[in-house]
Amino acid sequence: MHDVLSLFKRNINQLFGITVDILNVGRSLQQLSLSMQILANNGVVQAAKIQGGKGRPMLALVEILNNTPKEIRPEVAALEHLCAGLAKVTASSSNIVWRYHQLIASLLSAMAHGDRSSASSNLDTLSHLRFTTAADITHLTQHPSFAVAGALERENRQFMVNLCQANLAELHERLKDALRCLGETQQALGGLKMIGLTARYMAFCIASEAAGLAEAEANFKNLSTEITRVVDDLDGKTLAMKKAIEHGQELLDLLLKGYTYAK
Amino acid sequence: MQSKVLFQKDDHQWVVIGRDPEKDDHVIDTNEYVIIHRGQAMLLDPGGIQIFPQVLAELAKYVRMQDIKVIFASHQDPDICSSLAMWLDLNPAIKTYCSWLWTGFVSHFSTGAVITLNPIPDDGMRIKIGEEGPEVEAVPAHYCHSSGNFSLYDPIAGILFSGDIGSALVPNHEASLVVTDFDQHIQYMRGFHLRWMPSTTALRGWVQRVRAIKPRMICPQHGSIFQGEHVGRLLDWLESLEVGQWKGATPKSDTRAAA
Repeated sequence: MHDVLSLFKRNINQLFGITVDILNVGRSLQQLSLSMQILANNGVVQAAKIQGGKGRPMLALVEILNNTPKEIRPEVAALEHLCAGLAKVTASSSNIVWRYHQLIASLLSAMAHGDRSSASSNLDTLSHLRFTTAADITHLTQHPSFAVAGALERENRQFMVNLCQANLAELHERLKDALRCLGETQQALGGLKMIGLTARYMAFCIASEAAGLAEAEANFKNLSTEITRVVDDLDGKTLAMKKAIEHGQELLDLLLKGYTYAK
Repeated sequence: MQSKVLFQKDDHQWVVIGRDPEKDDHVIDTNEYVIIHRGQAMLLDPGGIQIFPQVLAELAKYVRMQDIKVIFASHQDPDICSSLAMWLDLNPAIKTYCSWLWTGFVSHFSTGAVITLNPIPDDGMRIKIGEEGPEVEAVPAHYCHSSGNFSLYDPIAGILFSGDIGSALVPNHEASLVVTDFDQHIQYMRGFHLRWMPSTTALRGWVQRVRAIKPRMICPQHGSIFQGEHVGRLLDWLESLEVGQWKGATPKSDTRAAA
């Protein structure tokens, strides 16, 4: 029974890893936005070389691209803020589950050693309990060995039970907070996806405009290809973040139901 | 975990908790003491987090959880007080005392709520057992072994809790809780003191202070308890020791074994 609770505790700590994964991908987007800026600057230079006003539409397109880093920066800052919140909630959950684990261990130790002479001190019948839900704790109090003790010990055991229930309730609140944080992070990803879609559309427009530019066509087609490659990279990173968030949500859903994640 | 009443007079009681047969081998064995006066308790060196469940389960036989009012930490080591956060979670109103030197360090044992410690000045102080109880005295034991270290004397029981002084690494949990053969017991104390006590001057100073107190029982944090004639023999033996002598040579075999 302790093993399940230990795994439960480890699962909560795994949220730290998920937070770091999200944060690292988020930070790598800053680098990606710089690549986009370099491409936009390149586009401005190329468009300026085109004679007779033919470069104006191209100039307008690359100006839009030039805004991409400015748009990505606040999105990444928002992600960092959300990840910091998630890390804080995870740290708090980790502390609570650690205390809770110790209290359950204390209770079981008290029950196992309370009345050594009695067969009721055998806790084997509790082996199916995971101690990850309030119902499990209630079940524990119904075991014969819980009541086999003097008045003082019984009172202390009930005190420990109340504390366990309070810790578990607090833990559930923190896990719900973590789930909410992940949901908000997922929403923040939507903003990044929109930026990617806009940049991809710009790349398409640049390629179309380039068709009528004779000798400059090749340069702009290359630029369009490079922009598409950067946007592909952005999509890859947002997908990685999405997977990390979904893994976190799956983990939290299990933990909130009192289950563990063994993978 | 086992427990035993060491002193009982009227409504004043000393209990020792220790000698855990189920303890992990890699965790050093410790004695936890509790003074209970009119139902209110003072816990002396509550122990490491590893043994918290066992100590709590045993303590539950003697005192209401809500009536643990005071915790005294002789120094800052993890085997002394790394469980502090758990005790304060049980009762956030517990007053915790330790050397002023370590308050900022011991606070790192927090797991969420801020740990507020009452600093004991270098010269020691009197501490009430519970809210209205009698006072016990924090006796300076600096550099024996920690640089901010206290023993605790209870004049009602005549018992001195000595922290690491007089400690011994006894072979197993079946070792006698009270020293019966002092000469035989030295082998378990010698290595411990030679390595963990850094100052002969400080140790002899402590012996002088304790001789003036004249305790009838000395209770260390590890090993066995001294009472009767063994109190004097312990003080004589401690006074004869030359500690803190390591100069870079290979440690002696008995010290290695102790470590």
